[in-house]
Amino acid sequence: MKKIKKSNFEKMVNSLLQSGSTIIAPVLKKGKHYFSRIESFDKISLDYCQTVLSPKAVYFPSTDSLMRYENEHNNVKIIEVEVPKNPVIVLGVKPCDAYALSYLSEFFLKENSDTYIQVRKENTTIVGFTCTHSDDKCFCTSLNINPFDTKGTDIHFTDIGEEYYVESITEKGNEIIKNFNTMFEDSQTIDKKEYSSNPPIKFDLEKIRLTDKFESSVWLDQSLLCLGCGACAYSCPTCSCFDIQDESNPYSGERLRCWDSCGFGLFTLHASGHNPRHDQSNRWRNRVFHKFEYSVKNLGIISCVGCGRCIRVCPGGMNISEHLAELATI
Amino acid sequence: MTVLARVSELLDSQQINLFIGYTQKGSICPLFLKESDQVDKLIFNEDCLQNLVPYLNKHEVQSFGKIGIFCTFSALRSLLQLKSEKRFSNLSIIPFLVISDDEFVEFGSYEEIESYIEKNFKKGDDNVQEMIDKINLMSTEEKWEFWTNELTGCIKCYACRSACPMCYCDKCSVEINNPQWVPTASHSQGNLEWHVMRAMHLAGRCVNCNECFRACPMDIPLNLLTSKINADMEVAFGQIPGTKLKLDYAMSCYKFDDKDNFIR
Ligand code: SF4
Ligand code: SF4
Ligand code: SF4
Ligand code: SF4
Repeated sequence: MKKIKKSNFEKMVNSLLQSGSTIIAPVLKKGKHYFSRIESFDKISLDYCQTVLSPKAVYFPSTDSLMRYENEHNNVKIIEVEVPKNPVIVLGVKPCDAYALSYLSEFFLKENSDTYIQVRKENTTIVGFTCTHSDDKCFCTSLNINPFDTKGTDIHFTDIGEEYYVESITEKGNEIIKNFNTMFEDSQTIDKKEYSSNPPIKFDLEKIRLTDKFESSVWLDQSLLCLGCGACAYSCPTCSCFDIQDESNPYSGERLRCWDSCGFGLFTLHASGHNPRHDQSNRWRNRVFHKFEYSVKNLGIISCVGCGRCIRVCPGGMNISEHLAELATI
Repeated sequence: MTVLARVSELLDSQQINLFIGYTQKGSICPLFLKESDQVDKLIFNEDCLQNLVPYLNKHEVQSFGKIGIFCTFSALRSLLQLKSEKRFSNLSIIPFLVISDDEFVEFGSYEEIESYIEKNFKKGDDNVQEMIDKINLMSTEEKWEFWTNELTGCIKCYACRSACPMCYCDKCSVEINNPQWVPTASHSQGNLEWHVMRAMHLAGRCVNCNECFRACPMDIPLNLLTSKINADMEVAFGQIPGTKLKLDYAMSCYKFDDKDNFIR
């Protein structure tokens, strides 16, 4: 284990910026935190509970160009899109979000590797941070995620006062320590719990059994508050649905991958006009089933990390943590 | 009688099958009551700002048939505007405007809503007006820069649309995909087209409830667009949305005595 003085951490970040790395970190804008590209260390604001949007756009941007094409007298030419290969460092990623990024890479890379996301992942270093601020909407601990876990990070920092306690998790993490070896000192193992937030457990995950609840009336009752937008899915660090759109004119075009949400009625609307998820209760049920049933079946991972973003952004006051607590009792 | 007692009475006597109000759970959120046993969870205070009327546009909610609902003043205006647009013909709605625990107005008809609004009319939020005044003073370039800046944040989650009482189309223009009129992508052109289109579709229909702004996760003040257009329409046509039961809508009603020649 290592440690680094905060003043050296600042020097390290500035030197990474100077060497041409793109650094994405939480930045404070009009009272809220967002992951944004930073040009200098002083823009970083690590003193945050949760960013409005998750860092998933680093792998999976809201609008992603997949290819372009040109048409000259019916001669169609495909132009491949080069995903930039410059090094990207995402700094200040909380354990919930790092966990979610590791889920996203499983999802996009496990069976049919998605090259766009593959290239981004290869060139991205995730710098995790032990969580120090939680609020009443956080529930990572209810999902067996600790606010100091390192899963999904390449290197993990814990604020211990004047210094950060540092754990290198992957080869990319080792590389950082090697490149700045004069700044890192050896450290004894510490109990990170003492330095982390501690959101209370809100429900017993073991008690949530969805398989036989598909036809339950609970979905309608819970979803009455839901207005059917995309705010929860777009802010969610694990939601991965997308819509392929061709934007074209007779001479050229571009194929885009845009975020989509199962909360929208259009999401499952058939060309015939039939909609198998005809009301919001079906859509809400899908959201919960996807995260707690289908992704467990498909990948062996629950695809909710308890970050609470969907609760914070919901215009209708939907609260997945309360809804899960209710599901644990029926 | 307190408002809670009255809501219980309506639910118990099945004069309504559903009551939509507010409750406090960490933060304030809507509460849907089917029976009177949880009526004491209802709250009403100055922080209960969400316009609940958009829920009446959901068909699951409509299937309750007879519905009571807490309304803020602008929610009441949205109800009247929606009625004037021939919505809710198969619904029986009992709106409540709560002033304090035992002072409230229960409306028995849309005519009563109309006259209440006329007597108690207050223009929207002062902060909104202040912002509009500020933008009015900007040059065209500054306005362009202001809106380009604000709109780049839009992620096209359509929470503004979902939370707006007046956005009730079964198929929103952005969902018409053959051809795709408005780009789905949240790039700058897509965002601009979406917001210009939405503002135009709400021109003279927006009731200044500011719900779109409250709903937006990215804090984009898009209520300024519709409020500004409303103000202009008031000057040009003397119309204020959500104040009249009879639809008299400049953007769609033909008049023989129109000021402009081109339309005649
Ligand atoms: S749960 Fe909330 S954020 Fe999600 S679709 Fe429903 S209203 Fe929108
Ligand atoms: S479903 Fe909600 S709490 Fe769970 S990961 Fe997504 S945004 Fe976070
Ligand atoms: S546009 Fe905004 S302010 Fe106007 S009625 Fe809709 S939600 Fe309310
Ligand atoms: S709610 Fe905000 S971010 Fe979402 S579509 Fe509307 S303006 Fe864009």
